[in-house]
Amino acid sequence: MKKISVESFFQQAKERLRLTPLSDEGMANRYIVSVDINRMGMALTGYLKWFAYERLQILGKTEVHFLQTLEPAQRKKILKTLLSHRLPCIVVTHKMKPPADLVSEARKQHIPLFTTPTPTTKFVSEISVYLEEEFAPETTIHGTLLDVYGVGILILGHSGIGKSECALDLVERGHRLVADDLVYIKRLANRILMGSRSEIIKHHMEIRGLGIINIESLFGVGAIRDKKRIELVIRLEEWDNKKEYDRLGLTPATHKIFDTEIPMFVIPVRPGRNLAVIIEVAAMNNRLMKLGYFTAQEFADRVGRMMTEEQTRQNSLKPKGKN
Amino acid sequence: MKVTEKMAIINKLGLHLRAAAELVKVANKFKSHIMIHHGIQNINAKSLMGIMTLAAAKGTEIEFVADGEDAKDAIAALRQLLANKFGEKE
Repeated sequence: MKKISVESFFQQAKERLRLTPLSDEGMANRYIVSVDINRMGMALTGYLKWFAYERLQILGKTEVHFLQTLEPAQRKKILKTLLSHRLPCIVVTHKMKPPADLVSEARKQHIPLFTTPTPTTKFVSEISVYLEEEFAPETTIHGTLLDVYGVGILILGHSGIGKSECALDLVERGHRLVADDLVYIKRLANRILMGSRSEIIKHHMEIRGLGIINIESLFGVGAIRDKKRIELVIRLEEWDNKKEYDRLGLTPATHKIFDTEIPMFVIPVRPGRNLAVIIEVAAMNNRLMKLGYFTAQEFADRVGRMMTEEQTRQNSLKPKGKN
Repeated sequence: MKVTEKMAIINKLGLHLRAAAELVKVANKFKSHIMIHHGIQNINAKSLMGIMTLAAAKGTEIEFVADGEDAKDAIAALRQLLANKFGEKE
């Protein structure tokens, strides 16, 4: 199971979540192990039966005020018990100033303690989004990801089939490259698949015969993107005379990544077939479908309507009574 | 046929660009589908850029999985390439 050290959490999120450390002891060997968070609430009253200590702990306005109402001796005792659990870290929200004995106890027990000016509810939603992203399942896939007319298209196919050449063609036509050869995929909330590139490769590409080229310096920042949601898969295959390819597009196939099914088109490759144009059209067709216009279905309906009309016309031409 | 083998990078510079190119060249001689597993990464051994993302330094262990009729030969050739330090001196 994935775990994030509090130190790397703090380094990455301090600006986004507006965190200031009050005690940074023990940051390197405390870990966040879950996307869930816990508001300390009831635990402060001494009820520890369901104390989810392994989660990131949040102290809001209510909790801090409650701690202030306690007798100093009792407060010390409760804090000592709570902080002896293996907590990852504590965040005090809403610009609240935590009681001095909380800060000293946190330092003593090596529990990182942060404050943030963000109000509790907002902070909870912000940190949940952040942790969801961090803990999202991740994988890599051999393929090429582009943004074509705003549609994230993942091109798959065997090595040497021409994915990179096809991508180059699309970039030349004004579309944007996200990643070539190796695509990092994260599954975010609502089963969204977000594709991005490797920090090492960035926007370099290998074109057989040319070697390594840099799309950003050749085509400019307008030709690249850092990440894009994957909405359509194009699988390139060698043309096989015996295979039946989809001729209608009435029932698009799908490609499964994690448990998300993405519409997929299998495009046979043959010299002289302009793949870039086919992919552009696939992207535009996908947008049409999103707008509620299903070309193949509309066409089928239209043919059906015309056949009925023709039938009616012929029937009306027949002499009456002789049916 | 599927053959899996873990191998270590033993040359001084690790899997740098030229070494990766050699690896891709060897992998491409075989019909088998060859993958490299390292951490969360699954990389096609026939793709140069993919291999570069491994940034595998000296001492790194990577796992090769070859799948196809010549999988055994492919793994043997890769083993030899890595043992020969990609034809480099050190």
